[in-house]
Amino acid sequence: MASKPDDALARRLSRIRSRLRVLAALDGAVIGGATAVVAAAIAVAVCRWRGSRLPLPALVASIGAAALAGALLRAGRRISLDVCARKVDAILDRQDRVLSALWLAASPAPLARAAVADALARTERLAPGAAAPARRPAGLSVLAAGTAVLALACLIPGRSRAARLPAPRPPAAAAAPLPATALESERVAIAAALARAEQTGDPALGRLASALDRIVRGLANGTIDPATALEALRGLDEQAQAAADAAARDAQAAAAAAKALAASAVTRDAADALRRGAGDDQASAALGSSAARAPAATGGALHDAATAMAASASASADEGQPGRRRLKRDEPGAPEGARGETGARPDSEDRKLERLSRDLDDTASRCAQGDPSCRGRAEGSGRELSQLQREGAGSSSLRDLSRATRQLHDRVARGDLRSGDSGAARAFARAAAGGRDNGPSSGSGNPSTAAGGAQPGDQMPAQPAGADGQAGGGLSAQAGELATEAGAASGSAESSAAGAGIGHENGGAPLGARDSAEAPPGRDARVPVADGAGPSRAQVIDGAAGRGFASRPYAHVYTEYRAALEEALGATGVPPGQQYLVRRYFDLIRPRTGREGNRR
Amino acid sequence: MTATHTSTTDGATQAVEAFRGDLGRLLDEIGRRLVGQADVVGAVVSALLAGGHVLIEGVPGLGKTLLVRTAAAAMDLTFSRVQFTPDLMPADVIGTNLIAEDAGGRRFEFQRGPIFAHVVLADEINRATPKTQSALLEAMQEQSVTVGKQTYTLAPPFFVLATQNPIEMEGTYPLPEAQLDRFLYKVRVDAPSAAELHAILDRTTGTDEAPVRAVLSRDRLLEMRALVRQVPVARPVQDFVVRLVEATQPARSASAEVRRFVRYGSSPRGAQAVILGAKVEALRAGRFAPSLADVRRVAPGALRHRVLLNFEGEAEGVTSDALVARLLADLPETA
Repeated sequence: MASKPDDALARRLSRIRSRLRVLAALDGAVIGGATAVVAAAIAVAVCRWRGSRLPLPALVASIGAAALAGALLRAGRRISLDVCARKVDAILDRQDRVLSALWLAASPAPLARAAVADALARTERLAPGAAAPARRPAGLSVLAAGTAVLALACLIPGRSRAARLPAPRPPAAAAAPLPATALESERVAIAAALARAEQTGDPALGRLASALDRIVRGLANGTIDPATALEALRGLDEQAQAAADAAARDAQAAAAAAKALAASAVTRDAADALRRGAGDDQASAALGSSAARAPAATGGALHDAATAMAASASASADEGQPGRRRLKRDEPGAPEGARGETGARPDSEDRKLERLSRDLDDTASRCAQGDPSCRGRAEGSGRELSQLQREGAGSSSLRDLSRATRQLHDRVARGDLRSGDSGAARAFARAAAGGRDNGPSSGSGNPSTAAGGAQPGDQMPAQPAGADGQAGGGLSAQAGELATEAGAASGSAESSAAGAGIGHENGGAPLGARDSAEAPPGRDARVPVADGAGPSRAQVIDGAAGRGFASRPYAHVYTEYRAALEEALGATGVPPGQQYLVRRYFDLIRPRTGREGNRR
Repeated sequence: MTATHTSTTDGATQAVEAFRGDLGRLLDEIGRRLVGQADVVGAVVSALLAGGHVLIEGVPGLGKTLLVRTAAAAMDLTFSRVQFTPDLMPADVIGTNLIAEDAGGRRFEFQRGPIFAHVVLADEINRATPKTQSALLEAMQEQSVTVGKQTYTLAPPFFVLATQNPIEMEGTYPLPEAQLDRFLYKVRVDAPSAAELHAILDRTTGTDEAPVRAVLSRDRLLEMRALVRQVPVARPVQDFVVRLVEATQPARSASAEVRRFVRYGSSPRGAQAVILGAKVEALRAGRFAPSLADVRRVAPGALRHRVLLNFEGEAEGVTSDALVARLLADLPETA
C-alpha cells in the first residue's frame, strides 16, 4: 500500500480483519477435522479388516491435531485491509467509499480528506459482525459425512480377518483329455502331409504340418486354450493357402515347360523325366545330353519352354491372384500381417518364375549360338525345372492341410471338439449346405460342385488327398459317411447358391450404406462429419479474396453487384433489419484504397 | 481530525454538494426540452464537465441538435452548427482572412468561422473530406486554430459534438482511428420508446414550447470542470482501469476473443477518458472518489470507439461493445 491509512479507519478495519481471521480459523479447523475424520474412518476400516485393535486415543488425538493445524494455517493467512474495506463497501452501497478512503487517507487533498471523513461517518456504527457475518464453515458437510462413516466403521459388527479368510480353493481340475477319436482326422491329415513333405523334400509343407501338429497336441492335452488356438489356426490356414497357391503355379509352369520340351524330339527324354518326377539328376542328364548332341535344336526347345512357362505364369497370375487378393483384403477379421504376407507371396512367386524363364531363355540363346557352355547351362536348367516340378507337386497336400486347418478352426470355434468326427461332420455338412464356408475349393471351377449332393465330399475334412494318395482307407470310410449325411441335409438349390467361389463375394455398397430400406440404392451415402469443423466465414471470405477468383477488376464487379443488390432490395419485401445486414455486408467487402483495395 | 481538516472537509463537501445541485438543475433543464435519452444527455454533460468531446452515432431525427442547442442555452454558452458535406473546406469551419477596407487603407481581417463558439455541433462529420475533418479535430485537441501565421485560441469551454450516420456509408469518409481517439465518448442514440414518443409529440406539436433558461454560467461550468480534475482516485480503482485498458490490447490481453478479433486496443486516452468520466459520475452521485461501479458505467462509451476490430471480427459480427462488456464482466476487481 502506498500510504498509511487513517488510524481510526484502520482500527475499524482491523477489528473486521480479526473477525475474518476467526472465521477463517473456524473454516480451517473444520476442513482439517474433516480430512482427519475421513482418514480415521479409512484407518478404522482397515483395522477392522485386518482384525487388529482400534487405536482410539491416537485417532482422537490426530483428529484434534488436524483441526488445530487447519485452524492455524487458515488463520495465519494474510488478510489485507483492502479485503476488509471491500467487505464493508459490500454492505454499504457498493461504491467503494471505504476502499477509496483507505487508499486516500494519507492524501492532504480536500476531496481526499472528505472521502475519508465520509467513510468514517458511514462506518462509525458498523459492527464487525455486519461486515463479516458468521456463516456455516466450509467443509462442514464433509465433516458430517466423515463422522457418519467413522461411526459406521466403528460400530458395524464384523468378523475377524481370520474368520473371513476364504477357504483355500481346491486345485484346478486338470482339463479332461479329449476323446481319442476327437482329433483323429486332423492327425491323419498331418501324418499324410509330413510323409509327403519327407518324400518330396518340401520344407514349407513340413513346417506347416508340424505347426498344425503342435496345435492339435496342445488342444488334445489342454495346454492351448481355444482362443489362442483359433488365432494360431487362422494364421496357419492363411499360410497354407498361400503356399498351396504358389505350389499350384509352380506345377502349372513346370507342366508347360515339359510340354514345350516334349514337342521337340531332341528334348523328349528330358520332358519325360520331368513328367515322371524322376529326379533332378535324370532331368539334368537328359537335357545335358540333348544339348551335347544338338545344341541348336535344344536351344530352340528351351526357348519354347521358356516362352510357355512365362505364358503360364502370366495366365495364372491374371486368373487366380486378383480374386484371391480381393478376398483377403475384404475379409474383415483378417489380421494385417496375414494379409500382407498373403499379398506378398504371389509377387515373390512371379519373380521366381520370371527369373527361371529368363535363365531358360538365356541358355537357349547360348545353345543356338554354339556356345561351349551350352551343355553345362542345359544341365542346370534341367535341374531347376525338376526342382520346380517337385515344388509344384506339393500343391494338393498343402490344400489338404489348409482344409484340415480350417475345419479344425471351425470346430474349435463351435466348441465341437469333444463330439468327435461325427459332430464335426454334421457341422461341416451344415456349413456346406448353407454356404457358410466358401473355401477355395468349394466351387471354383469344380464341375461336381454344381451337381448337388456330391460337393460335401469335396469339402471333406481329411480327403484322401487326390494326387498324393497318402491318407489311406480309414479316411475313405469317413468320407463316405460324411457325404451321406451332408447329402441328406443339403439340397441342390442351396448347393448352387453356396458355390459363389473366390472373387464373387459381395463387395458392399460402393456408394455407402442406405439410410432406409425405401431409399433408392446407390443414392444415399452416410458420411460422418464433425459439426463446426469447417472454416469460419471470415476464413472463407478472406481466403477467396486472397486467392482471387475473378478475372475482372473487383471494383467493377462490386459496383455491378451493389447495383443489383439495391435493385433486389427495392423490388422484394426484405425486412428493413435484414436490409441493413445485407448492406452492412456489402460495406464490409467494398473496394478500399491502399493495400486492401488491390486484393482482387 | 484537526480543525483545518474539518474546515477543508466541509468546504470540499459543500463544493461537491453544489456540483451535484448545479448538475441536477442542468439536467432538469435539458430534460424540460428533450424527452428521454437520459444516457445520451448524461454522456454529453459528462464530457462537457470532463473537458472532452462526444461522437454521437445515430439515425437522423433523434434530437441530437436539440440536445446540444438546449445544453448550450442552459449553460449560457454560444452555439454553432456545421453541416459537414463533401465540399466543405477547412476555411468554412475555421474562418479565413478577408480583405477589409477602411479609412486606414486595405488590410487583411480574420473572419471567424463557426468553430469559434463554445459548443459546436459537427453534423454528419464523416461526410466531409479528411482535410476538413482534420481541421476540426486539430482544434478539438489544441483548443486553438492557426490561420496563416496567426494562432487564435478558442474560448473555454470548447465542446464539440460530432454526429455520424451509421447506415448511409456511401460516399462517406469514415473517421480514422487516430481521430476517433480524440473523442472522449462515443454514444449511440436509440429510437425513443412509445411513452417517450408520446411525450415528444405532446411537447413538439402543440402551440407553446418550454423556453430554456440559463441555469449555469460559463464561469460556473469552468469551476465545475476544475472540481472534476481535483477528484482523487484510489489506486485499486485506477489499477482496474489500467488492467481494463490493457485487456483491450490483443498483444497483452488474456482474453482469447480480444486476441482473435481486435486489431488495435485502447490507447492511454481511453484510460484517461474512463477515469475522467468516473470522476464526473462520482461527483454527480455526491461522492468524493470514483468507484469501480462508476468505471463500469462509463467504460463502454469511453472504449467502444477505441477497440478496433480486425477483418475477422467484422465478418463474424462481433461488436466492440460486446467485447468491452465481456472484459468488464470477466476482469477481476483485484489483480
